[in-house]
Amino acid sequence: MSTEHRLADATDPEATVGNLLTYAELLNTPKLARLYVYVLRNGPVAIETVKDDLELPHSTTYKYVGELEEMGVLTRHDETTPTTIEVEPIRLTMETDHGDVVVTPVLVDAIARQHDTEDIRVFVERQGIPKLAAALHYTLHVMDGDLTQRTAANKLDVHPVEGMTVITALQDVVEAAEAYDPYLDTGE
Amino acid sequence: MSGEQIPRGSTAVIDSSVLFAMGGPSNVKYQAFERFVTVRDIEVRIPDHVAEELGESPDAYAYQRDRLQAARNAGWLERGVVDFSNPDVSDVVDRTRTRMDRLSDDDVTEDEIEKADTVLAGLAYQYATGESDHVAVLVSDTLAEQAIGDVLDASGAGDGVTVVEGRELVNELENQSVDKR
Repeated sequence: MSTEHRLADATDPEATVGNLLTYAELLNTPKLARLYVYVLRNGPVAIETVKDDLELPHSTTYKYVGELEEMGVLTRHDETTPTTIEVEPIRLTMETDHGDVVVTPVLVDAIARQHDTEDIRVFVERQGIPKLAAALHYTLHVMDGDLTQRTAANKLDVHPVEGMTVITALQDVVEAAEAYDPYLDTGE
Repeated sequence: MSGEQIPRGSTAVIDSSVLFAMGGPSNVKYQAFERFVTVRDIEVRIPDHVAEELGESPDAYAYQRDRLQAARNAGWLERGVVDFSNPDVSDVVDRTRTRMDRLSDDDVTEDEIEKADTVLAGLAYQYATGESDHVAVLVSDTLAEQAIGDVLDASGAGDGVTVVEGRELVNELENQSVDKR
């Protein structure tokens, strides 16, 4: 059962809520998010390579691979030696009272970067993941020339320095995501 | 290449977002920019409103203030004081606010345009019509880049001013310094 198929079947409440939980897990677990984005960018890739490049313990690597497989976003190629894995780009669209919300791999990457980017880590510690998602939304608009970084900080209701710091870091994330996130433009 | 748009001996008016893109003194981007402005004899000025904004930032961002301080201690960055008693400077600041509001999305009001954005244009105008032969404005913001460029062109100071995408410049300088190794 592919994610694509499950997404298309929006009238199926079980599948829809299943997707929601999958994405929530990715958005809530930075290390899992980091592995997901790594495999999305490099897949198909040997599990051992993932483990070595991300410097993860053997057990953690296999636990995360198993979790992504259970979520239905990861495919394992046992016919190759060594076994390789790849993941599908996720896409979740929700209609909310605040308008449509779109979750795609670029947000997963932003969350994963807490690990090695101080500017994103400080922001998430202070403001949380939902605000990071909003910051990413405004970063795309800033890059499109729709508003300045300081106006975006106003809209986010954070201090200009906090807003500009995270938007500057997210610009790097968006530029990198252009190579692997097929849904990036649909968030406009 | 944006680095070549900034002649030797220019004055560069820099926004804090470009400093944020450089990282701290241990970062290759910071070092490459420091080398660039030192070798080319470029005087870097941060508008006082932008420096004050940094000073008032939440304590969690003290590391950004430290980066500004490191550049000042190293001697390549100083505060630039906007002369609002000069009516032409005030006029450029006002027109930049109007231009930014016009270029922004419809749901942005003029109240949401921050003074720290508009004084970048005012300070650049002040230097370009004063002692500086050439002024570069370094921003990393597509809308600010366009608005500041439009207003300075219309003011007649455009020939002596270049608006540069600072984040791209910093990335370019980083790549050059990596290539040389």
